[in-house]
Amino acid sequence: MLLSLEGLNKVYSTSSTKVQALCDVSLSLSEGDFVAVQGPSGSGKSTLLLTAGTMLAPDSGRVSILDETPYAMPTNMRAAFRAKHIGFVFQQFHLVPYLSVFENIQAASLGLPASKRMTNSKVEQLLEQFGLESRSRHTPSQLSVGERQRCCIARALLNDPKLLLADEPSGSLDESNARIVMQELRRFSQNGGAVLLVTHDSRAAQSADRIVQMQSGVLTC
Amino acid sequence: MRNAETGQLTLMGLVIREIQFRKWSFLLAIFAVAVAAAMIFGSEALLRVDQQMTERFLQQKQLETERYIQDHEEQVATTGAKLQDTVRKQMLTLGFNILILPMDVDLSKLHLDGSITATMPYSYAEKLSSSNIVTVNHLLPSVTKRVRWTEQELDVVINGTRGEIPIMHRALKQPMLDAVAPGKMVVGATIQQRLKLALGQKVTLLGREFTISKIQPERGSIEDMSLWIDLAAAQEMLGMQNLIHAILALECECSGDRLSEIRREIAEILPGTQVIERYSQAVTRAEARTESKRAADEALAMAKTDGQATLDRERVQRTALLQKQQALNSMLEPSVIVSTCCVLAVLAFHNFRQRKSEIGLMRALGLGSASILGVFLFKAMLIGALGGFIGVASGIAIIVARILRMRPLVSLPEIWTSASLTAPAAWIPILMILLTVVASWLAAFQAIRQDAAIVLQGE
Ligand SMILES: Nc1ncnc2c1ncn2[C@@H]1O[C@H](COP(=O)(O)OP(=O)(O)OP(=O)(O)O)[C@@H](O)[C@H]1O
Ligand SMILES: [Mg+2]
Repeated sequence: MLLSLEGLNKVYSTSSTKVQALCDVSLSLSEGDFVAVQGPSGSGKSTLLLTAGTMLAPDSGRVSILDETPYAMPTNMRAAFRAKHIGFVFQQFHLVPYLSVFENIQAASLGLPASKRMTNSKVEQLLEQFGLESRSRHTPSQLSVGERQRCCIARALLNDPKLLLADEPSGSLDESNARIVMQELRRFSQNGGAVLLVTHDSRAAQSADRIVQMQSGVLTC
Repeated sequence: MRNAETGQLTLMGLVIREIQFRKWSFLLAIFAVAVAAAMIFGSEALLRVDQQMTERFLQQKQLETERYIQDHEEQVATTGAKLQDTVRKQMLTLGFNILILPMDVDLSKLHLDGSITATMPYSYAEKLSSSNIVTVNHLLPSVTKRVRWTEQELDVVINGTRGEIPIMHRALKQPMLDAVAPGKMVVGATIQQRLKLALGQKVTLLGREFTISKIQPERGSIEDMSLWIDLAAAQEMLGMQNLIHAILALECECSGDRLSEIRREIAEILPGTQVIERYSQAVTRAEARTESKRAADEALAMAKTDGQATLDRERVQRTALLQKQQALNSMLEPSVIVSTCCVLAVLAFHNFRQRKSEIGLMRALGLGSASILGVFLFKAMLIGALGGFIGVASGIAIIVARILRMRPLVSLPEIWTSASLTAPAAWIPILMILLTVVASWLAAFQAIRQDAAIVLQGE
């Protein structure tokens, strides 16, 4: 099992309110799986991705990735584990504003030991794959939103992760761009990775093997 | 900024890129550090240089004062020597002289008409000359008597004098006064006028013939009515063989208070005699000169104390100024450090706020806390080092310009070394690095503490 989530609960509590973002969520992904999580805004989709991505510890429940339990690891080990095995595509991109497209993709290797960092030819290959060769020296602010999104996915793929967590990767893309992105995700899963895709776009969800619904923190198949 | 070999992005490269991107806030931070460094170095260096300059100034002043005093000392010394010489000469011509008389001479009568009533044996003069007396130099035994110059119908004072009796225990000196040679006569001014005498004229005095050999200038005393002849002739004429009236001692080595010493010494050798001063105005003059010498000495002493006082006042003033400067520095330095720290902390915190999402991303990319802390603190160190160097460099430029303006007085390398300016030039950049690291610490700490998940979910 590549990713296994069992009985996850997560409550965000502020001084006045409590929001149950995850409510007894269980989900498993094997190698080659492409799962789409669909649900309305605020239903806890991003929370689920971050929890699965070892970025946000659940209040209860168990997360295991490649038969390891990252939340049991010390912080630095978990970070290294994350760098090695997980790729993120963020809803808000989180591209580094002062790095070029090339460097933004390169930056994915910063969490790896120097000897294991990806070569520049891999970066160039990704640029080509996502149609960004001519944008390689541009900074994110000089890119269109679609280009940013593609840059973001290229970055997530640089380290050859096992698990790709994508939060609305096609949310701001036109139809053809969205189709390219979905094709890449599909190809990633076909190459032995697992993709957990969050989207409220049902057309995008169609690309996935499996669609699960999220509603107020509750996951239903 | 990539790894040189592989062209890969490094954390240091990330820092440099970020600096290039937010260059203005970076430059602002560097400027703040540079200003602080320049101020601290400037105030420190200024103080040190001023201390050196003050030291030098005071040394020079001291030297000047000493030279002034030395000059004056020399002046006083030469003046004093001249004075002494003058006094000595004065003594020779006027003669600070004493008159040794028999004890029972009526002094008022002597002053009045120049006649001496009592006598002492001629041997007294010899006794004195063969004694060990040290206070008198030249001894001139004499007889003095007021008589009627019957041939001229004139009352005169006859002085019989002879050549000097050498003082035995001393080498013979040039005789002080020429004795009146036998057959010659020296006359006072009044006698000369009354009798219309001329040099070389022959006159008869109490049956003896004399030739006028010298006419004394007018003195306004009984001497104007006196005449001088050879002692032996006078003794015979006055019926005073082997008797004398007085012994004149010329060029006494005495002034003022030593008279009593002379009196004592003479009284021991010649009992039954008395000693009177002869030309006491000489003493007055000598005293006046002694007084003027004393005054000069006093003025010199005053110049010394004055010079020292001025110097001391200068030293006190300068020290006070330096202390004030030091006090100012001791207040300036911490306040500059604290305010710079605040500015840097605000800038660092602002930087952290701008980079929240970036930090979240770094976390997601698997960077550990050490790396993130490193990114922030490396930047802080760069700011501290660059700002420190720029600040110290400009501080040095200012100080050097200031030193160069005082150049004839001091040389740059010399004052640089003596004020030991290398030390602050070295430790201030280090202080600035520490300062920026400390100031950025809070922001860096916030950076590693922030919850990446929250940031990544948000904008
Ligand atoms: N840090 C937080 N503190 C408090 N509440 C939070 C926090 N993050 C998320 N929430 C709340 O948790 C719930 C789930 O949020 P989440 O971001 O997972 O939703 P989402 O399904 O991704 O929504 P969207 O489709 O709009 O991105 C929301 O109601 C949100 O308001
Ligand atoms: Mg979301």
